[in-house]
Amino acid sequence: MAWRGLEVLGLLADGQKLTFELANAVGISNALVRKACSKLAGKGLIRSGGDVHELTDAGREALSGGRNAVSGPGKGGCVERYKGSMRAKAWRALRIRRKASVEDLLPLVLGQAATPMDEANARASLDRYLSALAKSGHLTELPSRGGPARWILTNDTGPCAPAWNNSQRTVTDPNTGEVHALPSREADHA
Amino acid sequence: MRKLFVRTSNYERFSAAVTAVENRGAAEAGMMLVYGQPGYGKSEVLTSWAVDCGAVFLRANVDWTPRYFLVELAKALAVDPRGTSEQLFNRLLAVIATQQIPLVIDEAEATLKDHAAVLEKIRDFSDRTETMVALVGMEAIQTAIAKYPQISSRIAQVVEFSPASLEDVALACQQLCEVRIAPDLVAEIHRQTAGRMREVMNAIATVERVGKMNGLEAVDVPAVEGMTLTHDWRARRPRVVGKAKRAA
Repeated sequence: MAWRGLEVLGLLADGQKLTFELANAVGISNALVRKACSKLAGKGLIRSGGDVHELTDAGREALSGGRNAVSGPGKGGCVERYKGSMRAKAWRALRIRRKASVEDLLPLVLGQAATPMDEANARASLDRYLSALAKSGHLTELPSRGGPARWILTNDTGPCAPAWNNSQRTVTDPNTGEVHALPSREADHA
Repeated sequence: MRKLFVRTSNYERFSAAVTAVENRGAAEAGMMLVYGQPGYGKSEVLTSWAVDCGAVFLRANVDWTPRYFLVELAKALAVDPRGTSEQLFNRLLAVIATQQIPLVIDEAEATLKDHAAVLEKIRDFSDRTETMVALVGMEAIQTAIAKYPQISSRIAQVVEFSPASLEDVALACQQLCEVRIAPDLVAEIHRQTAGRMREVMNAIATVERVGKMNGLEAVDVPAVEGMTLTHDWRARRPRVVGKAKRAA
């Protein structure tokens, strides 16, 4: 079942609500409302006291469109929670190699059972990750010599892989605690 | 050409040695020595292993001193490198011991100068934290380390990287090339490269290009006859694929 947190969030715009009121309005069980509220509270969008729920300032900002309130892992920290993730491995490989292209990193991040489709997805994902790290100042693109784009690690901030959040366009560096906001895609193309 | 890590016989031997060190009897013998000629894939295998298990990978410099090594290790672990060497050593010891982070030292010959002062420091970490240390070097390193019995006695496993076998080359051709390479050409690549994986990769890329350009389902020796697959750097001339032996 899809996450109904955004609907719950919208219903709280009118003020405090009880769990059963939200459940009736959305058409789901009380247990699912409590689960959604717990996630929203974890994101700092609402506060809950027992079965009473209300918006926080961040929640009001999210409802007004000033902040993204989607489901899924929060910004930052995500990569480090999964040390075996492709991006975490790519960061470790960059710290060892210092200079690398996407082609150089692929054998180090792909598993033995990777299919050509997995490889293509990994290539696209790494390309986005390295481009984001270049914009956040961690990497610098080396002059092209006719081959694939190559990158040099110019700001090695520590062992934890910076996390790229595509929807919020931020790179969160768990080593320094810094959050680098990157320009929007439209600004990139302008 | 596919971009996968090929698990050659050298990799399998290295993996078996890692397991043996992890299950060792003597806790203080936590070091491993990996050696071999250039081009046999030592750094590739060790890098892949370090990426997988989160080991710290340091490339020793010729001007390393014990202090320089400690600072490099501190940078890799994001530990404050300030203070006396003793303070820094204790800080690093705490991080390595609690997180059990293995250590890889590439170009380890550089740790042997000044009566192996840097290697003694590395041994201290291995002894006290019981974490694994992999030393990587060229062929002469084993003899050089043998001069220091207090260090060589800590080496639980020695892995020699040898030239890739015909089976290794066949595996690389099968896993990496997007066009099938016939057994006669696999044997020719093995012969020309003398089992140096770096050159095998270059040869596979060339064969794949030929196969794709000519729309071939499989590439054999006659298809690349007269072409250059590899380069003989010592003789400074290309190695050309000779005429295929025709069946009588």
